[in-house]
Formats: sequence, structure tokens, C-alpha cells
Amino acid sequence: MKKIYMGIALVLLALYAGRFWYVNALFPQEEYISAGMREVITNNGLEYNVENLDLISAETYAAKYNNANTFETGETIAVTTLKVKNNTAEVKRTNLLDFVLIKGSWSNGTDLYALYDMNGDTFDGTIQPGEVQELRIATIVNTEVEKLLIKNSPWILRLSGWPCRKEFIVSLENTGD
Amino acid sequence: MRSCIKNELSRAFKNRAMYTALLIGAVIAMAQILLEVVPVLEYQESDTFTSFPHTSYEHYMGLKNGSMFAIYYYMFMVVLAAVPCAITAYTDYKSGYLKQIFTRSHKKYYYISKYIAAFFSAGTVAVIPQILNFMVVALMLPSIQPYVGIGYVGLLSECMWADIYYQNAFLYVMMYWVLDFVVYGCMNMLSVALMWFFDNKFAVLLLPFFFYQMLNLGMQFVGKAALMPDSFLRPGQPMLGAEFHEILLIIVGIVFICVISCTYGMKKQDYYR
Repeated sequence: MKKIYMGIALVLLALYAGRFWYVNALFPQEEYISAGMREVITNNGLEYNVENLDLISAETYAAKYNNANTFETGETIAVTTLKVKNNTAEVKRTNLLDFVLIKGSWSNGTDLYALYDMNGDTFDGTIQPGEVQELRIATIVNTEVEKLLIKNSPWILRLSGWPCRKEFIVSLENTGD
Repeated sequence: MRSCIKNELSRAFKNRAMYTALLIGAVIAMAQILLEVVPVLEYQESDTFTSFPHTSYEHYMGLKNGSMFAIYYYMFMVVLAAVPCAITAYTDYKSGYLKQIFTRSHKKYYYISKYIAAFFSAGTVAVIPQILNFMVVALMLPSIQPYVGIGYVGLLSECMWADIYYQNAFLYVMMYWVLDFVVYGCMNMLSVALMWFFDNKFAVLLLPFFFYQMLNLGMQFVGKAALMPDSFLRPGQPMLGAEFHEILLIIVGIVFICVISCTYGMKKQDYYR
């Protein structure tokens, strides 16, 4: 009787493992691409490289980009400068709003309104064939900055998350004003 | 001592109340899958790859913060976990069975065995349905390791063990099972510890639930919402900012109550009532 139960248990385990493998095999993750500062990652036909990353206060941001309404006083803003090049023969549009800044288990997306402050009111993400643009994106560091800075993990700018993960490992150039 | 523990564990585990509690827990876990996971399957895009897939870590009952099943499961599990064993010490005491035991065994052994049985039975009832839920969800949705910044999926950085979650989500889930096992187990021990002060079976059964709600109220009152059991017992941690050492302090507090109350009961109560 014990052997029969063991047999049934083994069959159930095999069926479980088979189904588990099948479900996971349906979603294979593509190659993970990572690059450092000033190295190039191609995403949706556009070539990106990160020039620098700065942490600034909302006050400094307001003075620098002439808009005190985008962020609230006391907030810390991460400003990333990117160079985007369109090496194709067609007009492309950059998807800066999909970018995510990460450090350890903290992450936040790109601020929409800051895109216009920093890249001009007419900014629409369009890059003409052969054109190179220097663009800036801002991310609110909506957690305790001091705790974040002492974490060992690097700053990461993720361009795309799925199925192909593309990330820049970024070094912070300026932690204050 | 060993035979006493064996006897109490056998009484706690091999009874209809235990099977019923496990069955009810399993039914809730399966209902969550039927009503919250199965409908998601039709939106799962395995061929277009445009967005991060729905995963077992996203839809497992414990990690789904918006789920009413998660809210009620973790809240009422404390009652369900008390069903198999919480009142047996009280009924032993009322029926006179205790006196028979004390003629053959040391009082201390009986109470230690009772605490062990209450702890393990409650932990088992609280955790087995969670494991079942996760195992079945993992048969429907892929168990892709979640990474930081994939929209509304996952934990915020202020959550306890968030770094572990993003390194090994399954390890995080298992650690939470252990934490739940210990906390529900400890809360159930209160039924044994504080039975002296009650003269009603139902009141003894609901003691852990009463403690649970008092802790909810107290923590909210002192502005530590993250330490409400409603929040820290759920792997999704809906309230941010719980620290493990604070939870450990709550556990130590419960054990302390158990030790003090048991010592008091053994010295003052057994003989006189």
C-alpha cells in the first residue's frame, strides 16, 4: 500500500514539475543588455548613451530650469543627461517616459512635466534621421536620500524591461547642489 | 515530556477541527484563484511580448495587496487557526481531565506540550493554504523573478526584506511563510496562556483574534500602522516601514505574556478552581 501511495505521489510531482516548466517556458526572457556611462545601447532603433547623473534639490532645479511649479520644495531630483542618436533613415520617437531610474530596491519613473522644462516647450521626442540630441530626464527621488546613498548597489537607468532588459549602470556625479 | 508533547500534538492535529480549519483555508485560497487569477489568464500575452507578464509573484494571494481575499484571509485566519487547539486546554481544565493528567505527569510538561501544540497547529492552519495557493497559481502563471521598477508589480523599497524579494522572490515568500507560522502560532498560544481569566469557551477561542485587533488598534493609535498585524503578516506589506526587529519584539512580548501567565496559572489557579 505504501508503494502505491509513493507511486501516486511521484506521478503527481512529475505532472506538477512538467506543467510548471511548460508555463515558464512560454515566457522566455531575452538577452540582458547593460552598458556603462558613455557606452551605447540601441533601443527601438535609437542609440542612447548616458552623459551624467546629478542629484539636485527642487530649489536648484527651479532656478536652473526656470520653473518652480514642477517639483515641491524639499524634494530631491535626479537629473540624467542622455545623448540620443537616430542612425536610421526614418524619423524616430524616443520613449523617455518608459525609462526607470533604480537604486537597490528603489525605483521611479520619468517626470513628464520636467521633460518640457529641460528639453524645451516644443519637445515631442522626435529625432530626425542622422540627428543627435542631448536630452535630460528628471526623476523624483521619493525616498530617504541618505539611506539610498549608503546602499551598495549602483544607480541604474533602465530603458526597457521586457522581454529584453536594457540598462545603463550609471555613476552619480553630483550628490548635492 | 516527549510522550506528553507527542500526545498533545496528536490531539491537535488528528481531529476533525483541524481538518475543517485546513479545508476552509484551502477553500478561501482556491476561491481567490478562481475569482482573481483565472480571469487574468485571458489577458496574458505570451506571443506579443509587449509588457511584463502576469506572474505568480504578482497574483499569489499574499502579495496581492488589492485583493479582498488577502485582507480577510489574514484577518480571520487567526480565528480559524485557533479552532483545532486553542480551547483544548480550557476544556481539559473545565472537564477535570487536567487533574487526571497531573496525577501522572508533571504540570510543567503538560503546559509546555500544550503551548507547543497550540503553536504548531495554528502555524500549520495559517500557512498550508498559502502554500497551496502559491503552488496552484504557479501552475497557471510563470514564476519570473520580479525586478525593480516594473510598474505596479512588486514591493516598494521601504518594505521589510524588499532587497531579498528582488534577489530571490521565492526565498522572500518562504521567509514570510515562516514569519506567519511563528506569529500566528504565538498568537494562538495566548489562548492557553490567558484561559485562567475567562469563564467562557467562546471567549477563549476568540482571544487570539481579540489580541490581533487590539494590536491593530494600538499600533494605529501610536502611529505605527506598518506594525498592525493586518499589514505585517501579509507578504505584500500594504503599510510601509515595518522592521523585522520590531516584529521580533512583538513576538517576544507574546512569549513573555505566555510565560508570566502560565507561571501564575500553575501557581494560583489549577488548584483552586
